[in-house]
Amino acid sequence: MKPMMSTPPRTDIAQTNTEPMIQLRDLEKCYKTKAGFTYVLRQINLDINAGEFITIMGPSGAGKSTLLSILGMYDHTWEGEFLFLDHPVRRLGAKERALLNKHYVGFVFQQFHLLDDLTVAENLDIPLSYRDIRKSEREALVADVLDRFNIVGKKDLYPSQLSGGQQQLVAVARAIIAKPKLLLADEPTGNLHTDQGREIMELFKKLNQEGTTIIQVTHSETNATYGQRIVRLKDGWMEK
Amino acid sequence: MNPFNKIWHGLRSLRQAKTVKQEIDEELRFHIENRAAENLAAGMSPEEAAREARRRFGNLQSVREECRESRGASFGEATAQDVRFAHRQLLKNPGFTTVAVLTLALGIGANTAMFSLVNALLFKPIHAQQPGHLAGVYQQEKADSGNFRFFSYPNYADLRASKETFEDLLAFWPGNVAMREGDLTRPVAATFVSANYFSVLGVAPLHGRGFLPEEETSTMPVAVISYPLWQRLGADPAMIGKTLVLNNTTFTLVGIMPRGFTGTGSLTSPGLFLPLGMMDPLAVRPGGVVANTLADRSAENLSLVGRFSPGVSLANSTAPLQVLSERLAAAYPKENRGYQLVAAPIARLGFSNSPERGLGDTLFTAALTLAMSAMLLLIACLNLANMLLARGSARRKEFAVRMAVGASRRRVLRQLLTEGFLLALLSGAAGVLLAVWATHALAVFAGPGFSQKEFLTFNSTPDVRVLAVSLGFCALATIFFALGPAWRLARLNVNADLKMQGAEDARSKPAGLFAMRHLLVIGQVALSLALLVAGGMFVRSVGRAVQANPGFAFGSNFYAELQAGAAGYDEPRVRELYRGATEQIAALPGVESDSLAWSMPFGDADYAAGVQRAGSSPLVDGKPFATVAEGKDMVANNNVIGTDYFRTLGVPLLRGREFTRTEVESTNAPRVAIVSQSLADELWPGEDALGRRLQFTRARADAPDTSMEVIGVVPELKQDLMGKASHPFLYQPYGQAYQPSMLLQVRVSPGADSKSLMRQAGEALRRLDPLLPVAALKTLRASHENSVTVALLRMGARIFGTFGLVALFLAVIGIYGVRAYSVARRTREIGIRMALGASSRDVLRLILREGLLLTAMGLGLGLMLAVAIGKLANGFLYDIAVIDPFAFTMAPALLALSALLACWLPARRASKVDPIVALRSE
Repeated sequence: MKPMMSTPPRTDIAQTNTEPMIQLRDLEKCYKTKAGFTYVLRQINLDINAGEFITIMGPSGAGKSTLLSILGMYDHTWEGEFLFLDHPVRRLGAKERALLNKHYVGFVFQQFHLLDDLTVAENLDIPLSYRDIRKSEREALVADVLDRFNIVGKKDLYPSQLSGGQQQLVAVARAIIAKPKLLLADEPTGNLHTDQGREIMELFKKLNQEGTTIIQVTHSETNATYGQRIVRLKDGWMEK
Repeated sequence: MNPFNKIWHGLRSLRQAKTVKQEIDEELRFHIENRAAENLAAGMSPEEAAREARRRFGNLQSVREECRESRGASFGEATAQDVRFAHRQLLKNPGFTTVAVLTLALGIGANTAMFSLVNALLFKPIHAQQPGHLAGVYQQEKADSGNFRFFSYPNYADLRASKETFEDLLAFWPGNVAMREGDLTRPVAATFVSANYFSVLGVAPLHGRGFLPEEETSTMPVAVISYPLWQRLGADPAMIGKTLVLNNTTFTLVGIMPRGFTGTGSLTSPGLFLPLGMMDPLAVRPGGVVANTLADRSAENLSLVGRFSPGVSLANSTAPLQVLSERLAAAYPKENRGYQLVAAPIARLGFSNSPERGLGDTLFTAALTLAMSAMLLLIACLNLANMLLARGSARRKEFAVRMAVGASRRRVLRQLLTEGFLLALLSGAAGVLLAVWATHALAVFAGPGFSQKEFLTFNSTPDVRVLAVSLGFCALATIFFALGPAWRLARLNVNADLKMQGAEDARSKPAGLFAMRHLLVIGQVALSLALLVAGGMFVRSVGRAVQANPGFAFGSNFYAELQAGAAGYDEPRVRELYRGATEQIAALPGVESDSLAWSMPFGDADYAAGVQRAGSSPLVDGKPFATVAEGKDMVANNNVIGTDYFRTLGVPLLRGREFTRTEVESTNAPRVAIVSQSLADELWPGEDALGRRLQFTRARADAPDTSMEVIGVVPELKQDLMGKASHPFLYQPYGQAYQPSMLLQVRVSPGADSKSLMRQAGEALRRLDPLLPVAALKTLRASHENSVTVALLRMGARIFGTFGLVALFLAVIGIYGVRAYSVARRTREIGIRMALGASSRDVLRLILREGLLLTAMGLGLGLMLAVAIGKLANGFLYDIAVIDPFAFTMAPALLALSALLACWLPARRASKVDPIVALRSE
């Protein structure tokens, strides 16, 4: 187990680690209500290796999105053990968790969550602007991603001027622009029609082949086939 | 339909709402049925014909509303409905209502308070019956319309006898007398009046009677006292018939005037009203000569106020007054030729022989004060406009629904304005209460600072004029704060706003830098800074005034104001008393020196006289002298002093010597003078003034010789706070210039206890003569700090300092409100940013940066405004530059710090946003 760190290492995990990227041990999450405790996740034990493409499935309310939030280190009110690249997440402070997230994690939302008053290029620049990267370097990265995602012609458009599929394409581009090792996607095609959804899933597949670890939450069996394994949740329990 | 018909129909609709509704419904039904009949005739089925007719007719509810509007029928009903709804809205959001009412109440209250003061000073009629029928009467020189003079009693008596223009005419002359109260003798302002004074004003005494005609010119010692003096003396109605000792003469009290009666002036009231006949025996006048001025047609000292005869008014009084003037000039040409009578509104501020004198500055001060308070109201309005804009965003869906079911834009606008006006009325009521309290507090604070001889009779109860103006403020405020947001809301996109899922306009783009809300904040900050700087300048000015350096050290030195003349003593007795007083005080252990003086630097009174080089005749060949050095006269300040005057002040002479005991005590000693360096330089440029002679201006060739030899030259002493840094000064010894009232100045030895010495001095003076009126016994510093000028500055500092702090408070609330609202509606954006890697510090910085940018722009604009205000206020302030470094650094710093705090609280809340919660709420 690695000690607490002030700055996460920016090394290639696949080359330096033999341990799984993510290790969950007896992870539980519950809410306190008037009626007592309501459990959302129960005794989750899960290892995810670097380079994997995992699909989390289950009915509504099974705890899929909650698990994704915990994996993205946005949620810290849970019990159990969570090692991320050997870092004991439970024992990390808020700042250190945020630092881990910033360096290793990208997130794709079902509702895209682009900022309406910023252009496509400006939206792509946001994650970089929070990572102490020089402006010239940021501009180069944005240009590179625009080119890679084939959206150079859209760079000065506002989200409201894009179709749903284009918006999600930008959202994915934004999620990977800072070169995360782990890409989390919560129902990434939930608001898209079939063709647009397929495009996004092909993009995920390509990103995974390039080395990005992907964990997606989906209801779609078709989308699940893009992943290498499926984790099924029901009433907070992981199905064996 | 004209507005009156509309109001009439509106009122009718309120009373007969059901009937009016039936009439309109029947009319609409008639039209639809007609159309359906036509459709039927065209071959449609009955159902199809009816449906087509309704479709062609459009939205029935909307058409019904239009009909009611056009008939004026819904006006009253809709207004009542608007008021009811507005009332419910205000009750529904008590937090919003409370903050809004408090904010606006501060603005309206400040304006009402300031207008109350201005009203009392300039507009409020004096306490009299039908004050509009009264006018001041003035005597104007025909050849020089700017030159006026007072009236002699014989002229007054002749004018009063003629009843053509004035039904009756009163005369008065204000003076001071010394009144004995127990062991003390205090100076009290007394107005010497004609016997008809109270009847012309139409005010009867509260107790007792006024003066009888036979008491007017006789020396019968009767007195009427004002209400505040009666209160001070115990407020006993049984005082009528008791005696008062004034200037050592026993008077019988015959009447007590009612509360609020101030004679012909405003704001202040004399303590006593005495018959004109007592003017000569009691009046304190240089020389102490008891003259019979009432018999002298050339002794002009009375002011007149007349009550117009029926049919005569200010507007048509010129011709009849012309006739009166000519009649007077024909009867007494020597005294009256070249003068004409004019009528004008009564001089409200003090005692003046001309109608306009003194009002220019007062009007300017009043306008400046009202402008500053208007700025405060504007800040409050900007604040409220911002609150309504924010609230409007939350109510878009509500109004979209209203418009979808038939409300016209005009109707929506009217409803919102009704809400605004109701809010303004509530604030106005609170503001008037606040103003009554504030003006009362101001009067209490101001009272001791003003003349101790008069009584401040400012009545803080608002009159109809103040209430009407406050209502005007409410209407004005409604337009300022409600119209913009209401207009915006009335122009919403019904379709788009109906689709909004939440009440909040959360998906709209964040406001740009120059969005309306931000411009309002920038305006608020700018106006607040201007007021804060103005307040700072006044406060600083008071501080500087208190610490002002007159050219000598105040130390713990003190003075006694002796009014031996008021005790009825003649010149030899007064001289004897003052000599004895000087000797006895000088003998007290701890007194280094003492001296007599007619006036003192930074005192409430100073005197001036025309002087010129001795030997100058009035004119050279009928032409005036070109320069002072040639013999032209000039004005110099004039003081009469005793021995050791400069030693007592601690001012060393530049050349020569002080006056000797002989020069101070003997009336026959050779005439000598001490001059200030600037006077010496003017009269004898480049020469030594010692041994030279000067004289008072000789108006006539046969004028008596007043020439005096200069025996000393002294440095400049600053005489008053607001005047020039130095004045040319002439000092004469007491021996050659008698004055009945003098100041006894005392220099205290280092280490001596001045309090104890003042007590001993008071006892010594009482031992010398128990009846000697000692009007004041206080330190020079206390006298200066409580002087009228410092009191006025202090009052200005209180008013403008309060304005500044209220403005700061409003600005902080405004900034906080806008930032908090911005954070609330940007929760999603903040959540996304944090999900994408923004730290709490990044978010904190983002929100702070936006708030501080607005603040900085407001500060920049405010500084420019503050410079303009500084230029305007500079004339009233003591020793303050237009850009005072203190005010211009501290005020922006204070505002910036406050703004930082106001931005930091919402920014901190933003930095605590949980991205998952924020995004889930979407």
